[in-house]
Amino acid sequence: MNTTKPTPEDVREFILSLYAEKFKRAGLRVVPDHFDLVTGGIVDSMGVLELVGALEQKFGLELDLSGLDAEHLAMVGPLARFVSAQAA
Amino acid sequence: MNTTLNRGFLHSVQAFRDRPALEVAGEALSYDALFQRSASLAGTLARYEISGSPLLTAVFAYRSVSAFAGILGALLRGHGYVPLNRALPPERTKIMLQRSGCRAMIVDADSVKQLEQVLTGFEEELLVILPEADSVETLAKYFPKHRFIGKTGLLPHEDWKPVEISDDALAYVLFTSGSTGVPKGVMVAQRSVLRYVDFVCERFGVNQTDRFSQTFDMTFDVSVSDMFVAWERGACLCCPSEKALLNPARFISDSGITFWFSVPSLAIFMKRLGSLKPGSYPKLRVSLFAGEALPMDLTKAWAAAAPNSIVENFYGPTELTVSCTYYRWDAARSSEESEQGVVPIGQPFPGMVALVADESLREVAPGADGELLMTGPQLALGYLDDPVKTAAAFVKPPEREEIYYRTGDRVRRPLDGRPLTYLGRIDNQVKILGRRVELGEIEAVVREESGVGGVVALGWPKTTTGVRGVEVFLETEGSGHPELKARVERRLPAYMAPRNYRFLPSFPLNANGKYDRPALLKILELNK
Repeated sequence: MNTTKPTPEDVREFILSLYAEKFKRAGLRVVPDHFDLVTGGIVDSMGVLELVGALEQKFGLELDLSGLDAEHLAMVGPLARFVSAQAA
Repeated sequence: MNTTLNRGFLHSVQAFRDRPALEVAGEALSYDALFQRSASLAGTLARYEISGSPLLTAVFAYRSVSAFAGILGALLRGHGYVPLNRALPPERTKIMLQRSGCRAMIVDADSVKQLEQVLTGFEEELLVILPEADSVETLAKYFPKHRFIGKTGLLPHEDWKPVEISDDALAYVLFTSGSTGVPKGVMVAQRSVLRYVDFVCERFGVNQTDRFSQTFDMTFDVSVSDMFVAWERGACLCCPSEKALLNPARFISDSGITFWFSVPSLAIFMKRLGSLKPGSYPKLRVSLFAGEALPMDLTKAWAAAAPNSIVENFYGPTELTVSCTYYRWDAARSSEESEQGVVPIGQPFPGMVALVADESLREVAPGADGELLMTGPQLALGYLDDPVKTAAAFVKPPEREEIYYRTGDRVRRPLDGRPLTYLGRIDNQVKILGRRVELGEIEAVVREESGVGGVVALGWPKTTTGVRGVEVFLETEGSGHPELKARVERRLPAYMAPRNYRFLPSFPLNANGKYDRPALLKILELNK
């Protein structure tokens, strides 16, 4: 398991790998920092809940979501930085 | 007696013409406006119906006016509806469409993108109605076999004529995960849904001032409750966008929700967001949960956050029409009645009969546990075109006259006056955020895509409500085809796709020579 603190880039890479097939289908080669997984049609709202679980499992942590702006929850960059900061 | 599902809606159109029936994606529609949209679709379906078409219309739409008008349009035509979901892989949608036998389909603007993939190679002639499309020329040129009707081709609502339908007419066919690799279509009769709707309306005194949440996917049968309970009594159905659903607290206050219904997982998410502070939702008067185990601690927090609300746990598989048992949370006694921190599932709906049985399907003693079987007016008609699976799940237990549905759920047979308690599954089905997942279906798909015979899928890790995801083991020396993950994901919904693939040269076996699933689970635990 991962014991070293993941960087935002690590988290981002993991998120992108989870949905690689969907990004490919959507024809998205470059995923912008503020790309929203929900409005961008990659996942639905339940998928975001699954993503939170997958991130916690992957990086061995329990996220404190109370500090997170719900607007940012589905955005690749802000979410990656949030997870990385919590892993500290 | 009128046993059609649109009975209540049509009554509300008369009684509450100008009151709001639906709020979706920033648009509000009165009963009259929603009726006009729906009747126009129903009239168009009738006008262009393909001969020999079954009494079913597919609705490939989601969280849009066309989705709701499409469902009502199908019903006003005298059809049942088959919900399709663009969040699922198009390959799966195509299988569902083919298996349903539908020859008519209503598609909303956001689902059109997937239409090409769904229709490519589709053999039967289809009537495809796109109520929001200005032009259908390109599609018509690309798929000359099918007939496409866009916005301008819709018939005026005045052209709709009511149709007579039989008592057993289908309300919907809903596909659930099937253990042999193909989703199975559950056929539910309109009269069964009405039993459910009537009970819930009476129980909670639903009226035209109520405002209902709509949190469920339409491919999840609990969505039927939101729609038809609300419309039966002239209430308003409030459907948030996907994005808005990520902030349920704001949705509840902005939309003035009085009647909440969701999976427990969504409430857990709210708790984690810090949205279940005591007294947060004074306007809620009814809160229902269904789809997965309801944790006791969560229920306490919800009851405190919604101090004026009744809180109930509903239970029921699709085969028993939305929900068929209920339990009211009561601070004075519910903690004591909850087992392993999970709220009981309570007692059967009126007219429904529960049988807790052993392996020979004979009733177990009070207090003992066994499989829950149920029968009554909410019993589904079986699986579409699948007499084998229907016969296996819809059975006549010894010394009983009626056909019962085997839920596969393990429950405790209550002692006098006590509620039914959910204890787990007797097979390899798991729940992920309330959605039913047959591990056998995942195993079958992975087996086909990998060419490896030995495949075991496990729900992992466990949560208070079910499992978080799926992990899969393959019995092989190699490390799998590089395309395996992508191929599997093209066939399975995202929530069913395995998170990790693990390769073992040989699987541990149990005393019966079968794959030792607990031993494989142990491997996951040790690698945590």
